[in-house]
Amino acid sequence: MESVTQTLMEALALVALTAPMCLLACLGLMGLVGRPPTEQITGRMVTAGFLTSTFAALGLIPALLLSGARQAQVELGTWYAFEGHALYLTLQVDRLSVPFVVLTALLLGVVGSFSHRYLHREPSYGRFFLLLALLGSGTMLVVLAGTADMAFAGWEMVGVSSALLVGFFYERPAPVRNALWVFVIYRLCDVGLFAGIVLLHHAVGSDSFHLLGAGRSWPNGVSTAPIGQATAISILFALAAMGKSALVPFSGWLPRAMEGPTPSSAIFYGALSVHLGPYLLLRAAPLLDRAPVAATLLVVVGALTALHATLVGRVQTDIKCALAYASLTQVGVIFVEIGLGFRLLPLAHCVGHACLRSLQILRAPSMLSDVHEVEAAVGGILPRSGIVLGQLLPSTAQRWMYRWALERCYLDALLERCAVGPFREMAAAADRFERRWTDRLGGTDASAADLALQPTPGKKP
Amino acid sequence: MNDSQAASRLESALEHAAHLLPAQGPISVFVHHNTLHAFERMPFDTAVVEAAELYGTSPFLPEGKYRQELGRGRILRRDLLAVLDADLGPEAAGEPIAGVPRRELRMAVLVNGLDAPRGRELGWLLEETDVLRRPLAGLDAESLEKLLDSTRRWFLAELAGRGPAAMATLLTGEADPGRAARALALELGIGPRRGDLEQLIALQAGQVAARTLWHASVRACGRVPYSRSVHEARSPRPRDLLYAATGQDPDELVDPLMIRLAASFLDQGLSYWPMPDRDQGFWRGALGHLSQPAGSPESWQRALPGEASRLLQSGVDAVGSAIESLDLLGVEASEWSDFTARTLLPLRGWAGMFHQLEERPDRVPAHAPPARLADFLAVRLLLDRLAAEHVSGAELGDGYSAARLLAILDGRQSRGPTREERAFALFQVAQLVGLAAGDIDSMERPELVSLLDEIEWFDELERRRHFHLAYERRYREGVLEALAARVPASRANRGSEKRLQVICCLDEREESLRRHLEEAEPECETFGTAGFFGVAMYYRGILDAFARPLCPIVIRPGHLVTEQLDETLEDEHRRKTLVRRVLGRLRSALAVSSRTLARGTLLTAALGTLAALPLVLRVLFPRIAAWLRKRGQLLTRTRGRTRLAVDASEAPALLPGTRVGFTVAEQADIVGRLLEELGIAGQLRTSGPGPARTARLVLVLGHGSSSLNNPHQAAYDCGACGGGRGGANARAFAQMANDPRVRELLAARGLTLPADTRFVGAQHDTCEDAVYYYDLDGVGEEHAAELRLARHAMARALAANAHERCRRFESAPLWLEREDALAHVEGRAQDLAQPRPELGHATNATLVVGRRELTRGLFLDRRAFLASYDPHHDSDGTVLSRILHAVLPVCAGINLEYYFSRVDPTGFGCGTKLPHNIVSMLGVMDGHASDLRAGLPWQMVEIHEPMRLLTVVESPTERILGLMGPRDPLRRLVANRWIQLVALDPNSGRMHLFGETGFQPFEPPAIRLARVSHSFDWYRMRRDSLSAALVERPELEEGGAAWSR
Repeated sequence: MESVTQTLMEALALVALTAPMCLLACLGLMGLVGRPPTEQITGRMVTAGFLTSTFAALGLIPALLLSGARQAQVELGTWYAFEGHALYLTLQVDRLSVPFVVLTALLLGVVGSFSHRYLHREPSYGRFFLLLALLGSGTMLVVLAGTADMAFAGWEMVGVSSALLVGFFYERPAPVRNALWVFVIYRLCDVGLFAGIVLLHHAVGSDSFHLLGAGRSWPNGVSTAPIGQATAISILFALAAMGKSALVPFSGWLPRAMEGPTPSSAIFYGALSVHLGPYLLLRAAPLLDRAPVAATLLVVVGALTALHATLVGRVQTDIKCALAYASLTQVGVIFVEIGLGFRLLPLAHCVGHACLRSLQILRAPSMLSDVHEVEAAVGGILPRSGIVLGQLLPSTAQRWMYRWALERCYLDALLERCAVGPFREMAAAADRFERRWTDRLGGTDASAADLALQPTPGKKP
Repeated sequence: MNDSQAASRLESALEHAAHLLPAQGPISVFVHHNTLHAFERMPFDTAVVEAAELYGTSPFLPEGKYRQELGRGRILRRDLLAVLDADLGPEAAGEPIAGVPRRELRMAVLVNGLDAPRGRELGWLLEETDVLRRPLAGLDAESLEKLLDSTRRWFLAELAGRGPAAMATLLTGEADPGRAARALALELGIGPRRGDLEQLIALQAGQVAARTLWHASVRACGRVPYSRSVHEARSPRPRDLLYAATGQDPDELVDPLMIRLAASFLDQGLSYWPMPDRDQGFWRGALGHLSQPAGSPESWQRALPGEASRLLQSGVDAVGSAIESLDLLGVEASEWSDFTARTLLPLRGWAGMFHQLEERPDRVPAHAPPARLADFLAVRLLLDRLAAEHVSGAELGDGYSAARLLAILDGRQSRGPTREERAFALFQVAQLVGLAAGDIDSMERPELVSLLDEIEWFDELERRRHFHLAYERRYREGVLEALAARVPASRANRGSEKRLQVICCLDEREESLRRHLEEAEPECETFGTAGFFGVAMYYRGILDAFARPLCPIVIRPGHLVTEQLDETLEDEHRRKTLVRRVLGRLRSALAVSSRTLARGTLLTAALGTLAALPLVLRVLFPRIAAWLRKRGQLLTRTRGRTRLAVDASEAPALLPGTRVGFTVAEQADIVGRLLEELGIAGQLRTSGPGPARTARLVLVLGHGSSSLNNPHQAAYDCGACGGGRGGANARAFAQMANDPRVRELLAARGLTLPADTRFVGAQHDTCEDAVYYYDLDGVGEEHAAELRLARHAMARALAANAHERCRRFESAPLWLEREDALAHVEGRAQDLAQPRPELGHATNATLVVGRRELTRGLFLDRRAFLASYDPHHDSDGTVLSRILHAVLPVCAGINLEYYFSRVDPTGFGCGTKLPHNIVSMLGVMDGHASDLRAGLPWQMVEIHEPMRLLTVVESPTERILGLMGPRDPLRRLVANRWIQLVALDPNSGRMHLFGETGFQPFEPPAIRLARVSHSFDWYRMRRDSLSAALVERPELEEGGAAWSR
C-alpha cells in the first residue's frame, strides 16, 4: 500500500510539473518554426495543459494524506556529476509543496480560462500565453524542486516572464520603462539566491532540500549546518525573497508592475509570484531555525513592509494599486509570521491570501458596477472607512504622513539615488573611457556620430 | 499691463484651452459627444487635420488600411475617380501635367501609394534594396512598357550623341568622369565603353531605367527648390525645447507627481484616506501638500518645498501664480493662449476632468471637490518651471532660458525634406505614369515646378482624405440606392390596421429587433423615437440608492418620479431592505477589511481559501454563477406589484429644482407630442370614422444594457436617457397614455385615442436580448390575446436578433444554431472575463428620419438609427424641427465619437481595455500612472467603419434649411459637413445631397434590390458588413393581402 501511494505521488508530481512545461514547449516551438497556433488551438492547448496539471495536483492531496511518510522524493536522474559536485534532478512532494502545487495549478487554470476570453483578438494573444506557460512552468519548478539548483531555474523563469508581462504593451514607453525597473530589481535580488545556493553547497555539501532537513518531513526538518553559515545563507535567501515579494525597500516595483493586462496582474502580484518569497523561506525553514539573526531580520523587514504598505495603500486612488498594496500588506505579515517561527500558519495565509486577492484583481474592472450594487443595497454613498487611524494624529503630522504615503515613502527615489545612480555613473565613466580610447585609436570623433542620433524635436516619442 | 488685465487675459487663455480638452465627464454617466466638438465651427476636412496637428493624432484611417479596402472592393476605383473629379472640377482633372492628365496622375499615386523614407532609411533603401535595380513592383504593364521604351530610345540617342563617358555620369550621378567610371565599375561591373553600355541597355533596360531616373530626379529637385511652408510649432513649451536639445524629457519627472495629485484631489472614494485640505481647492491643497518638510529625495524637487511654502505664505492665488510662472519662463503675453493650451494638453484627460467638474459639479458620483482648471494650470506651471530648471542645469550646466535653447536648436533643426527625399517621391511617381529620365531632364522648368507641386501637395494626408471620401461614398451610394428602390413601394397604401404597434428607441441596435419583429409577426408595426419617450425626469426605483436623470444630457429635468410599492408588500419590503442593507454593509466591510492590516490578516488567513469557490465559479462557469446570484437576490429584493408615482403631488421633492410627478396637462403634452412625432396623431385627427391609427396594443420599449467587467458600461445604455436605462421612461409613458384623464384632455385637443388601445411599457436588454414587461397585471382580459401575440412575437424576434448579433462575435461560431444564440449572448453579459459584452454602437452609419414604410423590410445591418416622422402630417415643419433638434445632435455625437476613436484608437480613443485601471471612480488609466483616458476603448470600435453619419430626412430641402436658425448648432453640423445630409422629397421621391455649395440633386442609379425571404438568409455565414437587401415574405408578395394567422 505504502509503495503504491508513493509511486502514485511521484507520478502525479511529475505530471503536474510536466504539463505546463509541455505546453510551454509546444507553444514555443510552434512559434519558433513560424507557425504560431490560432487563438482557438492555443485555448485548447492551454486548457488541456492546465487541466491536466490541476487534476494531478488535486490527486496529490489524498495521496499525501494516505502516505505514512508524508513526503516523497522523485528522482529524475543526474544532470551532471563530477568530483565533489553533482546536479541531481529531484522533486520534493510534502506538506509544503502540495498546497502550493494545488494553488498554482488551480490559479493557472482559472486565469488561463479568463485570459482566453479577455485577450480575444488581441494581436499579442499568443505571446501572452507563452509567457503564462513560462510562469506556470517556473512556479511549478520552484514549488516542486527537490534541490535549490532546480528552484533557482524556476525562480528565474518566473522573473523573466514577470518582467516581460509588465512590458507586454511595449509600444508605449511607460510599460517598457517599468518592466526594466522590475527586471533590474529582480536581477539585484536574485544575486542573493545564487550566492545562497553556492554557500549552501559549501556548508551542507548538498543543495537537496530533503537533506537540508535531515530527511525529516516538512515542517519537522532539522538542520545541522553551523550557525554562522545558516545565518549567512538565510539572509541571502531572504534578500532573494524580498525582491520577489516586493518587500521594503524594493516595494516600488509592485505598483509599476500593474502595466500588464489585468489577468497577469492577478496571477503575478495577487497570487503566485509574490508568494514565492515566503515559499522559499518556508523551504529553508530548517536553516532559519538555526539563524535567529536572520529570523529577526525577517520580522523587522516584514513588519516594516506591512506598515509601509498599509499606509501607502490607504491613499491609492486607483483600484489596481490599492489592491497591490493590500497584497503587499499581507505578504509583509506572512514574513513576520515566518520570522516568528510559525510554519503552518504562513502556509495557510499564503494560500488564502492568493485566492482572495486574485479574485479581487480579476474583478477590478467590474468595480464600478460592484460599487453601485452595494450603494443600492446600503441605500446611499458608502461611508469612508479607514480614516480612523489618520485622525488619531495631529493635523500637521497627518499632512506630512499623507505626503509620504502618496509618494510611496520615496522608496524608488531612494533606490534610484543610492543604487541606480552610482551604478549609472560608473557605466558613464566607463563609456567616457572607452570613447577616449576609440577616438585615440581610430583618429575620429566618435561622439560626432552620436549627435546624429539625437531625437528630433516634436511630439512625445 | 496691470494685474487685473493680466488676470483677465489669463482667464480667457484658460477658456480657450478648456475648449480643447476632452469633454468627457465621470465615466459612470458616460455620454457620447463629438470628440472634436471645439472644432465644429470649421469644415470637417480642415478641422480634423488641424485638430490632428494639435493633438498629435491621426485624422483618418491609415493609408494602408484604405488601400486594403480598395483591394477587397469596399472602395471601388470609380469612387476614387468621382472623388478626384469632385475635388478638382472636371476641367482641372483633365488638364495634363508632364503629358499625364492630373486625374490619372493622382489616381496612380492613390492606387500605388508612395513611400516617403526619411534620412537614413532612404540611404538604406537605395544601397541595400533593389529600388535602383528594377522598376517598382506594382507597375501596370502599360506604364512599364512606356517607361522602358522611352528609356531605351533616350539612352541610345544620348549614347550616340554624347558618348559613353556622359552615360556613366547619367547612370551613377557622379559628375566627374573619372569617379563616374569607377562608380560604374563598382555598381554595375562595366566600364564606360560603348559596347558594354549597349549590352546593358539591351539586357537590363529595367535597371537602366531605374538608375537614370533616380539621378534625373535628384537633378530635377536640385533645380526646383522646396516651396511648401515648413510647419513650426508655435509657443513651444520648455519641455519641447529641452527634449529637442538634450533628449531629456522634463514631463517624465512632472507627470507622475501631477497625476498622483490630481487623482487624489478628485477621488470619489476609492482611497480610504482623502487628501487633506481638499475643500480649499486644488491650488492651496497641492501647495500645502508639496510644502511638507523632508520632501522627495529626487533632485529636481529639491527647491519644491521652499517654493511651495513661499507661495502658500504669500497668499497668491492660482491665477497670480500662473502669471508669475509664465513670466519666469519668459512667455510673452501674446502667447499665453497657445502656451496654456500646450501646457494642459499632455495630461488633457485630467485637465479635462477638472474642467468638467468645475462646469457640472452635479454629475459627480459622490462628492464634488472644488475643482478649477486655473488651479490645475498653476500647479502644472510651477512643477514645469522647476523641472525645466533642473534638466537645463543638469544637461546644459545653466538655468533654463528659452532664447538660448532656441539658438542651440536653430543650427540643428532641418527645414523641410532634403533634395533626395523629394527626389524619391518624384522617382516613384515618374515610374507610375511611365516617365523616363529623358522626359524629366527635358522638362521645362514651369512644367517641372507644377509636377513637383502636384506631387508634394498630394501628400499622405491628402491621399487619406481622398480615400476617406471614397470610402464614405461607396457606403452612401449603396444605402441611397436601396432607399430609392423602396420609394415607390413606400407610397402604396399602408395596408390595413395592425394589431400590434411597438415604439422603440431610434437606436441603431433596435433596427434589427424591429425588423425581426415585423418578420416574425406581419401584424406588427414599429416606430422609432428618442428612447426617453419625451419623459424627462429624475427617477428612483425601489432598489436604487439615488435618483438619476433619465433624459438627454442637454436637459436638466424638472420632475422626479419614484417607483412605489404596493401597500400590502411594505412589510416584506422593509424586512428585505434591512437584509439587503446588512448584506451590503457586510460586503463593503469585507472588501475594505481585506485591504487593511489587522482585519485583512484575520480575513485572508482564516477565510481567504473560501474565495477559491467564487473564483472558480465566476470565471469558469459564469452562467451558473449568475443563476445562483439571481436566486440569492430573490431573498433580498422585493418582487411584486409596484407602480410609478407619475402624478404630480404636493410632496416635497428631495432634489432641488424639481417637482414630484407630472400634472395631467403635462402628461397630455408628453403623450400628444410623441404621438405627433411618430405620425400617429395626424392619422388620429384625420382618419375620422375610418380605421384608427393605433393598434389595440402598443408596446413602448426602452432599452439598456447589463454587463460585467466594463468600466464603460454606461456607454452601452440609452444615449437619449443620458447613459441610463430607458425602461422607466417607457413605463411612465405607458402609464400616462393609459390614463383616462390624459385621454380626455387629448380628445379635447382633437386627438382621440381609441378606447380599446392599451399601452404597455417594457425594457429591452440589448446585451442579453431579454425584454422585461412592466405593469402587466393592469392589462385586462380584453387585451389578453394581443398581449399573447406580442410576447410570442417578441420572444421569436429576440432569438433571431441574438442570432444576427452573434455573426459579429468572432467567439461565436458562424454555424451557431439559432436556438443557442440567446444562451451565447446571455453568457457574454454575465462573464467577468468578457471585454466585449456587446458591440455597442459600433458600425453605426446612417440616420433615417422618415416613415417606416421607407425602411420596412430593408436589411440595414444594425447600422441605421431610425426615427419615425410622417411628412404628410407636418404642415409647417415644426414637428420635423423638434425631431431633428432632438435626434441629430445625439446621433451625430455617437457617430463622431466612434469615428475618432476608430481612426486613432490611442490618440482619440482610450486604447485597449486590457491594461485599464479604474482611478478615482471617474475614469480609467493605462497601468498605474497615465493620463485619464477619454474616448472609447478599442474593443468597442474595432469593427466600426469610420464615416460621417449619413442622414436621410424625408422632407423637401427648403423645409430642412428653414428650420435651422443662423446660430443653430444644427446648422454648424450640417453646413460644415460633420454629417452627410440627404433630403428625400416626400412628394417627388427625389434626393438632394448637401455639399459644399448647399443641396445638390442626387440621382442614384436604379437598382434591383436583392430579395430574401428572411434576414437569416442574407447574413448567414457572413461576418463582415453587409449591403442592404429586401426581406420580404413570399406569401405577402403573392397574396398581396396581409398574412393572417
